[in-house]
Amino acid sequence: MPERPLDTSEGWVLETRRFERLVLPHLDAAWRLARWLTRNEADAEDLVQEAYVRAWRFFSSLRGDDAKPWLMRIVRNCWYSRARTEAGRGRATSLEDAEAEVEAVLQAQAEPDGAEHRLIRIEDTALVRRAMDGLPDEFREVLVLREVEDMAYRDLAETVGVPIGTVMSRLSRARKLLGERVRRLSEEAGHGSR
Amino acid sequence: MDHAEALGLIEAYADGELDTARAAAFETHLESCASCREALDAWMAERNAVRSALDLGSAPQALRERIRAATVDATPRRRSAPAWAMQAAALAGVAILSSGATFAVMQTAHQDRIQTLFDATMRAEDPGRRIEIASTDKHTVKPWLDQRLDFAPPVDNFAAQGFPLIGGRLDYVEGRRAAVLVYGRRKHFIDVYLRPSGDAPAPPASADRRGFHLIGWRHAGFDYWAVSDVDASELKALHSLLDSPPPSNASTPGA
Repeated sequence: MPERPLDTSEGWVLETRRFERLVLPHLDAAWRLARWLTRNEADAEDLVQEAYVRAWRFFSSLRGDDAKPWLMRIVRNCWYSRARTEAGRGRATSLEDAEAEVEAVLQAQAEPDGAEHRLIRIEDTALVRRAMDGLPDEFREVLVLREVEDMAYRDLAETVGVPIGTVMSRLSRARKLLGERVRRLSEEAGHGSR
Repeated sequence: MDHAEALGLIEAYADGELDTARAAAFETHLESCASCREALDAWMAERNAVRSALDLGSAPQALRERIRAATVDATPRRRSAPAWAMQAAALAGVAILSSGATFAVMQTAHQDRIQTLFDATMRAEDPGRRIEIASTDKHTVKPWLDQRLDFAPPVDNFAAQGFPLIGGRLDYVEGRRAAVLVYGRRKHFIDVYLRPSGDAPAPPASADRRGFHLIGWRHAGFDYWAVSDVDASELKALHSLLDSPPPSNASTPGA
């Protein structure tokens, strides 16, 4: 059998250029998502590399030219298949417990003499990051994809693989819980509420 | 829009997710409602604080280089059958055990062949693997294939019918060399595997795996299998064209 002219063929060169143009530019976004999912830099780098190797291998499964939701989906899928086998999720609240906690917060806020809602401020960065680390995976991923990556609900739904309605309620609850946790951390640290 | 409704829409409005009409109604309410304006401002300030806290900046440069080395700068290589293919083979094995012996042997051969074809098509998804001779000209693709095979496959371009010939490659079906014609269909590829009909009856085949479809048929001394992630109906359309090419396309007029 003749040697396959793999690395010089026209198709190969075109695919390479397309990948460079469409997928490589989202490396920073992939890294930010991975960094929040894994909660540390070393694991985040491994995760991003694994995701990119997969993206490269299955590049033909990308439809259209907007690779961001597609790549983000690969990153989070790699994380979930990892997290199932490794005990990587120990530090975060489970989604179930988080949902219950949000319910309690909502009820407390609905009461007429409920505590005044303390807003997250720009100087709360360290507290926000600590609070974020404790949220369930499902909350962290929608928060980073929406707040940092500015992804539309529709793209979030595609990335996470749930209906848009679920994205909206999950995002809303994630924001509520993050606010509540920041407020609590702030009180513990003696900053007091406004 | 009343106050309670507007309050409930602050989040979607700030996320830019309200449709034009609702956004306009929300803004109208906002003009007349100081408490909603205040709530929206507070919401935006909080969001900005969260955004700046969560934005961890750029990926390390070393990671960027490692990723280039592992993807676009890497030399493509053969990969093993994907896990789902193994599972499918295992499932097929279970099904066969429960059926009659003769039928089972035939089915096994048949299933193996279908699996081989799906595997080959999946492998071709690796960048650079699908096309060894890239050309839309059948007078370029055909000689390339003829030189490398002990048979001469018919080659036609159906660009006018929406199935442009993109190129070809060699592959193996059950250990025998087969010609593969690669057609484009919008942004998708269709691999058409071709080899001379053997002695054994080739059962007409159709199968699906993970969004890929396969149809097989026999025509004019050749066994054909078309495999792709396009709709099965599009594979059938290409099948009709291959069986009776329009006169202007025919590779060997009168054959």
